Amino acid sequence: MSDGRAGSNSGLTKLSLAVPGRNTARPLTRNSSHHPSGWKDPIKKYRNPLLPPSGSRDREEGGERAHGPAMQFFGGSSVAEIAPSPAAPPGTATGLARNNGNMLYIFNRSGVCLLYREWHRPLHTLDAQQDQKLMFGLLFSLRSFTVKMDPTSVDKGNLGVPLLPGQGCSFHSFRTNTYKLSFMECPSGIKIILVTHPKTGDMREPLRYIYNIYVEYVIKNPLYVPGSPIKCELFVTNLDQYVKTLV
Amino acid sequence: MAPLAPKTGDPLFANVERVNAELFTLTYGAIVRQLLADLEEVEEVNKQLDLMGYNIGVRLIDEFLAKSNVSRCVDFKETADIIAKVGFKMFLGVTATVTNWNAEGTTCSLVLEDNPLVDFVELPDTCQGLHYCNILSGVLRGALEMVSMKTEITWVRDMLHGDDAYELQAKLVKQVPEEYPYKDDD
Repeated sequence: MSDGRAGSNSGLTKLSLAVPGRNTARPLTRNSSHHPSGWKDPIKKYRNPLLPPSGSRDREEGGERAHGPAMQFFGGSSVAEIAPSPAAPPGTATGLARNNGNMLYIFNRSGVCLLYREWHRPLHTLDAQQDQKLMFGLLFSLRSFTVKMDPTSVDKGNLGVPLLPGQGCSFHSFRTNTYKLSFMECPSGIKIILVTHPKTGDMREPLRYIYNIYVEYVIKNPLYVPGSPIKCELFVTNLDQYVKTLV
Repeated sequence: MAPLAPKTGDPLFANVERVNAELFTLTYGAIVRQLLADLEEVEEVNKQLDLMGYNIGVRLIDEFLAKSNVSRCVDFKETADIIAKVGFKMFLGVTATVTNWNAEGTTCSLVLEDNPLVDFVELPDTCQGLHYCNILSGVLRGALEMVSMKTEITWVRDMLHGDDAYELQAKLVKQVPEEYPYKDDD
């Protein structure tokens, strides 16, 4: 493979030899229908045509399925190339090496999205503003609904009566087969939403920690105007570092 | 399980970063002194202190909620208790007592026996109308507004005017629930 390259690329050639598996990985991951073991992937038939052809076929945690040959060539490095992830180095965290979303939203009480951070998102359907409005609306309604359906609470207003943040029971996450959304709302109206891979555990403590980071770097920043989108570099850096350890 | 919210502020007070009390007192004194020099009218200074306190309160509430992990208070009585025991302790290092509840439970008094802001302070005759600690009323107002309570906070007793304690009267005007901010047709 490397001999076929021109002499001027000899530096590159040496480099590509030094990364094991890179040359072998590439042809196989691009061709979505090719499996070396001839095993037919039943999920492939129903693959969402909107998704870009990505290297990772199975969405579940690798260890559970006996899928030995596939795990070898889905090394992770080619998947990370497809998804532009500003802060994460490719393949370090298992959560990022798959087709899993990893995003964070912070809203304040009036629905202004203070921060939207995306570390991995395979599918973008709406533009950013619509997406944020949708997310806020979803959580607003979901919270209202969960409070009204609370079987242990004595006093239930009618559905549609606006709630105070923190009143009633607090809903903290929902999980689908492709992602888990964890949510935290503070009595001051700040809502923190973290989308991660579906096997994530209870995220309440990490969300509290993120709230603490927010207080330290954003609230205490005298140049930040409360209620406006967050532009503090330090906050974003610290947040990225912390979320990397979670995923 | 999240840890239970503390009922007193002592463990929190031990955990937050603290600054030298004298530095704090003297800095505050310098601010008030400068405001008096700039604005000259005592009423203006009072208003300005209240506004500064409001801006502080709006940010302070998040720090308070993050560090103290209290959940939403059920009613104003509980709110006043938390402010007096946890809030004041956490930020000023002193506890206040809550007294003088009115019949509906919407007005109460917070009494401070000692107040770190006023160490070494005497008001001169030219500034007798000055509420030296007016920043505190602004802080409370701002913080409570961010948790959906509109309040009015006024000073009832002030040691610098010759009374025996500091007394703030907190009146709950209304609770403002959150409304869905986007219009349906948007």
